[in-house]
This record gives sequence, structure tokens and C-alpha cells, in this order.
Amino acid sequence: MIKTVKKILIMSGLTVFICCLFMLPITITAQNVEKQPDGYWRVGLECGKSSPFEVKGDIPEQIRAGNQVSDYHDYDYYYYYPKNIEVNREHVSWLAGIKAEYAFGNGHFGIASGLRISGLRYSLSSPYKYLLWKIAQDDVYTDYVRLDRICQTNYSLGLPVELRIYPRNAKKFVKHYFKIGASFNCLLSTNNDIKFYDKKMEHYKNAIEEKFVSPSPFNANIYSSYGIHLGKEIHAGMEIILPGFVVGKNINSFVQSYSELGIRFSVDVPLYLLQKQKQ
Amino acid sequence: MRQYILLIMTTLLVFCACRYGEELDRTIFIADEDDHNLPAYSEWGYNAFGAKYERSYFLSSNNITPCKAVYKEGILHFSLHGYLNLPEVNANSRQQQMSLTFSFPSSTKETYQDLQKLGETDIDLSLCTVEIKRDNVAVEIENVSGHLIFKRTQLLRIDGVENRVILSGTFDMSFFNNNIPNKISNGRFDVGINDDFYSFE
Repeated sequence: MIKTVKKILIMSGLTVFICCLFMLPITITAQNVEKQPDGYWRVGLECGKSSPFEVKGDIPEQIRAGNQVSDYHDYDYYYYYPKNIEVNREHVSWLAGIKAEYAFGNGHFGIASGLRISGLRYSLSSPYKYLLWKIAQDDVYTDYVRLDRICQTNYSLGLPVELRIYPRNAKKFVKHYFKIGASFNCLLSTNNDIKFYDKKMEHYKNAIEEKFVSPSPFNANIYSSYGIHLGKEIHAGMEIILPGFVVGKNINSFVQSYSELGIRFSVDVPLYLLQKQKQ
Repeated sequence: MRQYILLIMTTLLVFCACRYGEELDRTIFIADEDDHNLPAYSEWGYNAFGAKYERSYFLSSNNITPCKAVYKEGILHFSLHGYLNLPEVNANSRQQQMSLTFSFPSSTKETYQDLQKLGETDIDLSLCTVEIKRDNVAVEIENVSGHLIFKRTQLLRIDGVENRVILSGTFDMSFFNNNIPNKISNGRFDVGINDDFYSFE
């Protein structure tokens, strides 16, 4: 119940924020429509969220298989022979950052960079009731522990470099743009959350974590996007992040590579406008 | 009132116990990379087995308990139950229930846990009795030769509680049926046995 209320509050807050974001350029630009210099700086904020488009990764070999189609006859009918272990995977990532853009060519082009904090949350759970993790094995005994869920969150600090192009008139109030970019990311911290089916088994948490592959401290992702800017001087933007690819191994303990599809919101202001406001 | 509460609690306990078993009782089919019709050899207790019976496949199924063991008068009867997929002209397969029972002399095994001692045992099938039943009708077989090998046995504990014994191994055999030579090849099994499927008499 509390979670639902929280979700509703967050969603409504986000809606108000986005509405304000899009109203901002309308109200301010109406007051300050001036000739833009050729070659100037813009500063801004961005935030976004994405979901996986394609994820490649191995399930830890300690997890016992639990494939959904458990009978040969089903495979025979569909001519489908899966080798992978059936596990539910959830993958959510978000980002927030500050950036500076140098606009040139009558505003048609822009090169931007900045700092971006991102989080990637990845969880594994069983399509049935629990995951079985092989914790130990000797000549006589094989020990499993039952797990509700394994969840890992990685926080990274990234340095994005982006090239933005307005294919049409850059002076219009509504203008669409294309962007290509790369982000060089450095892993800040990793948080593992392992939920045991039987809470008495929690002392095995470290033994399970030891089997995780360490996430790579550095990686880079290359992406492209399409978006719309509203406003003549102050821009509020919304862009769709198209699937790109990741350079580097082990994005987290369970994923070697992935591409994602996402949405990003931004607001940026020309620096000359801020300087004018100060004067 | 107390009786109702007790009844509800007992029902819930039985329900929970059943669900606990479900996960490990299911048959899990991970296809062999070389022959997709057979399960890959594994040692996880997937309750799966498979073998080539001439040009058909004898396979475990989720519908039938795949393995049972009975110890009686110094003989261990180890049986595999599943379906035989018979190819037909129209490319569909016809299924026939089949069981394969190996009976061989063994040291006393009073509980299912004692089956753990079977590890790394090679049984010469020419020295023991093998019975094949197709649709509950015994197949006449003679001059049996081949091997049943228990490669690995493990006593499985879940959250520290003993749950079952996992028997993993292979089998191959040839025999005569009405004076015609038959062969069961590439057999492999990975099955779990606990009190439910073990009997000592």
C-alpha cells in the first residue's frame, strides 16, 4: 500500500516536473527573443531512464536449471531446444547529469560534454518459487540454498561526448535533432542484495558474493538518439535513446554486454543569457 | 473452533510441503548438444533420463515419476519410467509407456540415503536381470550384455536439510528379442530418489 502511494507521488511529481520543464522555454523565451551569436556555450541538466533492448550474459553456474518447458515432448513439438537456464531477469538503468554544449554553425551543430551519474540495477529470480544455488559440494554432500532473488546495482560516473545536429532551421521554437555520442564510464560502487528464501541461511551471503564475477571498473557505451527541443533560447528537450552498444566486458556480474532503449529529458540555457541576467 | 484452526494449519503445512517438493520433483530437460533428442548428461538431479532404443528414443517425462528403487531380499531393483517415442510414416511420433528395470545384488540399503554408496559402481548387465515393459507388457529379452554405471551419487541438502539422493550415470545394453538383436545405447540418467520413491523390504 505504502509502495503504491509512493509510486503515485513519484509519478505525479515527475509529471509536474516534466510539464514545468516544457513550460519554462515558452514563458522565458517569450520575454527574451534576441539574436543569437554564432558560436556560444549552453549549460544544462539531464535525466533519463532506460530498459534493455538486448542483453547478453551467462547465468552463474551455481544456479540449478529450472527451464519453463520441462518436457522433451514440448521441445519436439516446437522444434526448440534451449540450452540456457530459464531465469527471470530484470534490468533497469537511470542517469542524471550536467553538461555544457558549444553550439556553432548558426546553432545547427553542437558538441557537448559533462558529467553523468548512472545506475544499473540487474536482478535474477526464478520463474517458479525460488532459485537453487549450489553453495558447497564434497564427496558425500551437495548443498543448495534457496534464494528469492539476487540483485546487483552498479553506480558509475561517466564522461559523455556528444555531437548534436538540427537538420532544419535551428531558430524555430520546435526543432528536432539527431545525436550521436559516447560515454566513458568509471564504476563508483557495487551493491549486492541477496534475498534468501529461508532467512536463517543469510550467513551464506558472502560465500555467494565470492562467486560473482567482478564488474569491470571501466566501460564505454556508444549510442545515438533522436529528440525534440522546445524553445528558442532556453531548450527543454526529450529524446529517445536508440539501441547502441557497450565496449568493455562485464557490465555487471551477470551481463557481458547489452544495448538499451531509453528516454532522456533535458533543459539547457545559453550562457550569454545567464550572463545578461547577472548584469 | 480449535479443530478448524488445526485443520487449516495442517492443510497449509501439507500445501507448503508439496510446493517445496515441486521444484526438485520436476523433470528438467536440457538438450544434449550432439543429439537434441536426448537430455545432456548432468549431475544436478534434473529427474531426466534418455537413451536411444534402436532408432527411437526412450525418455523421461514430467507426467511420469522417472525413477524408483526397491531393495528386496538382497537385490536392488532400479527402474526408469518414461515414454518410448516411435517414429511413424507421417513424421509424427507415437508414444508408448515404457519402463526399464535393472535388478542386481547389492549390499543392504535400508534407507534412500544408503543409495549414496552406489557411487562409481559399474554393473555388468550380463550378470543381472533386466526387465523391459512397453505399455505394461513385458518384452521377452535374453542374452543381455552391457553396463549400468553409477558415475556419481550425491546426498542433497536444501538449506541444510537432507532432501534426496541424486544418482547420475550411464547405461548401454544389447539383447535379443525373439531372436532378433536389439540395442539401447547412449543411455544417461540424472535422477533424485527420496523416501517417496524408495522401498526397503
